[in-house]
Amino acid sequence: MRNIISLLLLQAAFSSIFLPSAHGANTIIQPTCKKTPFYDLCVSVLQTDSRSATADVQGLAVVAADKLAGKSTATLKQITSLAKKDPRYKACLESYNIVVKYDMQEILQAVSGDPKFAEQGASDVATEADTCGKSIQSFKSVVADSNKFVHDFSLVVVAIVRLLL
Amino acid sequence: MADTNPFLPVTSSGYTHLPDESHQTNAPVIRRRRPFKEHLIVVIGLLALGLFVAFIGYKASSNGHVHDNENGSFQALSREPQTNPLVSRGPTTGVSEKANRVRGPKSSQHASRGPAAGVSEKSNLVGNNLRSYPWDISMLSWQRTSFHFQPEKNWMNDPNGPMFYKGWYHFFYQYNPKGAVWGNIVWGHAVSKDLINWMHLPLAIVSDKWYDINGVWTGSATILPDGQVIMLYTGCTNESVQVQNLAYPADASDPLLINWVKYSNNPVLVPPPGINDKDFRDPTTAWLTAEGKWRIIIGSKMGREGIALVYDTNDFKTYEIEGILHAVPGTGMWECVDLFPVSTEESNGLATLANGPGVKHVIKASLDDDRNDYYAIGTYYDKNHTWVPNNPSIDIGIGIRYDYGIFYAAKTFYDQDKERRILWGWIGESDSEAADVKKGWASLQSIPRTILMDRKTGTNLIQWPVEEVESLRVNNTDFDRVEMKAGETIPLDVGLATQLDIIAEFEIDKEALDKAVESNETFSCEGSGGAAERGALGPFGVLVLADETLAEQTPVYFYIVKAKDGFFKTFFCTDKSRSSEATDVNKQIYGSFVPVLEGENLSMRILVDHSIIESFAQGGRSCITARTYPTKAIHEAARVFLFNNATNASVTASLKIWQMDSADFQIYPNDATRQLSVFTSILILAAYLSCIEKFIW
Repeated sequence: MRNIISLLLLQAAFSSIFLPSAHGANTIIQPTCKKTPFYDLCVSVLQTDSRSATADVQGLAVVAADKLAGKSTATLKQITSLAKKDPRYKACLESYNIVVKYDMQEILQAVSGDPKFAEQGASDVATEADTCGKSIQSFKSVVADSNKFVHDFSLVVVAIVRLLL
Repeated sequence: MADTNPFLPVTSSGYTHLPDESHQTNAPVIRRRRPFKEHLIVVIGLLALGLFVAFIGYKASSNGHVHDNENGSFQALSREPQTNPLVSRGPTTGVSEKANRVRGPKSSQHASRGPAAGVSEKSNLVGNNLRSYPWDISMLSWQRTSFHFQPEKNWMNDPNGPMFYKGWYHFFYQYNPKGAVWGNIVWGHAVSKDLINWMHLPLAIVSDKWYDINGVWTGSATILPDGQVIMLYTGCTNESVQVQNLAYPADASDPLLINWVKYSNNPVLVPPPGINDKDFRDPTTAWLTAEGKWRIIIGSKMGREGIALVYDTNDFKTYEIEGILHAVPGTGMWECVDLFPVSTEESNGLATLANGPGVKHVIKASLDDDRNDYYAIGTYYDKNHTWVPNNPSIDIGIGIRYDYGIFYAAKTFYDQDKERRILWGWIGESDSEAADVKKGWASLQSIPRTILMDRKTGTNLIQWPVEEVESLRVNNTDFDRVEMKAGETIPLDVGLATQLDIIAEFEIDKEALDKAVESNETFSCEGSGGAAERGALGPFGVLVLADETLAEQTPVYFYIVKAKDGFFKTFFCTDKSRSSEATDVNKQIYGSFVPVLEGENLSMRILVDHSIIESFAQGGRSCITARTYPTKAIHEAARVFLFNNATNASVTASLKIWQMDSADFQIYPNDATRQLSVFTSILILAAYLSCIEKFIW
């Protein structure tokens, strides 16, 4: 009897290795993210969106752009209120105003339309985030992590969009 | 006592005590009669105010009038005052070595996709650590050009529907009315009598239908034999599908073609089976086939193969897909395809339907992958709708480019008035988008170029700025046979140097050519060290937008290599590596090989117009358009130098340099009319106010 149980357990263990992962059977996310400079970030962010499960590369680009837009807007909000009292956030405020008002609009329109302009916009987001990051690196800023996310993920967007050209 | 002044407030406490005055108790309205002089003073005061307001209004309106149809308007910059720098022979050390070459923004920052993916290496430009530069208003405002086409503000890209109609050159363009980045694309419109001075008109086509709600994209005009104008353009639908739509002038008798109507049954073409919804755009001008049908081509791709689809139509409303005109593997999406005839025998342009002996056909495609325009010359077979290149090794997308700098989405049209074919090219920015947002605009068009087959080589096209640009030339300075020893840099005194037309011829000394050692080095402008990399037979040329200390400079030059077989190969380059001290601008070196035939001198032409430099070698056999954003070499500080950085050769140069006047950019209705109407309405208002003033007092 014990042998049968252990055999069954062993079989269950073996079978579970071959079961599809709990996050769904979309095989596009991993190979797409492999072509970006931040694989782990790319996978973890895309997997949080239910659209990714059935998306093609074009669909993943749209999801990625949306995620970037969400995070940039939230970061801008944070920076705007910080900048009211802290003049050290002046550069970041300027950068993120450009990111949200212009770059993200361009990316969101272009990602389903004319991808090369989405690439251009996302590249500029990286530059702006870099500028912001450098201006706050001398002190422990609460937006440092968000800014790093925006910087890194914008490069992920650039890479995914290039696949559409 | 009755309250005889009805205008005093009646309080709840009863009558208000009036001040002690004598009134006529039975007059219903009390009117104090002011003396005539006071009336006059008030009226004159109102008139003066009106004039002042009209003046302000005129000034302000040309800087961004609030208008439903936002015009791209522009007020021509006044010419800057002239200064005369001292003429002197410069240091003999020439252009110093500088190893640093920072690649620019607008590039992907990840590792290359690799050759297996079919993307050429040069399309992956790694941007490294770009820091935003603190641009100030003087530097940014200087960047606007004075004689290149651009709207007053915001973003522009592809040229659309160019044509000559009822005495006017029409130009349409991709435009974002809401900002200095791409988006919300509609068609801007402008007209000109001479391709140089323009009048901005209201937006021609806006995105107000489901089939173009996500963008009114690129298209072309066809003028039918009976004079009818047909406009075909790509619309991005509410579901981001690319479709082709038909539009035509609302009033064909209006030479300005201000209003346009869309065909009621648009779209006329949707992506065919096997073609992706997002790979179907930019319809061409149509031409008549031998069967009497109208034919257009539309670029697309299948996998990584760029293709051109052929459609025939009788009425521009229903179409038959005929097949694929031509395909080239590995080139990716073909945008803005163009097909046009060139004469192999004559020096005039040909109408789009020309065919037969003495005629070859050029196909051009804009490659989405690397943002460059490529062309190839070949033979068009009307009956089976195919085209074959003269030389398959330099087929479309793998051979010759229109321009080795920034030049994209180009489009030609036939100017039936002067019998020439004219090329327009979109010149984007190579600074950061953030700087574009700060300065409030982005992109230019090239000076329109006549385009012809180069009958001397048979392999290249010749492009040359339209002769009308020469009408802007003023203040000619000639430099005759200036000899430069190896390593010399010579300042050229021409006065203000931000708007110039430079024509230069160079002769390198024969002895140096004979003595030069043969090498099989493979040289490329892009991969070289720029003008600072000295060779035996180059580089030598002109430094434009250079400051006195040469901290900033943009060399435009020739570099000669003696190949293994004793033949000379000449390269023509523009080096931006030291064009600016800013940290967030592109600093590549552009250029290519240029054929130089036996007996030809080396010649170049350079148009400098603030932040754009258009260069042409050997009469236009090779072209380079560059955008530069100096921080120091601007306004009166910009200079021109001659240089010879070769190690072993002396070079003799002759130059003709003109300053260029600014072109005129008006807004429709034209400025004078608006000024007059503003003034008149103020006058009427003033008169009205002075009339009712009598009732007030």
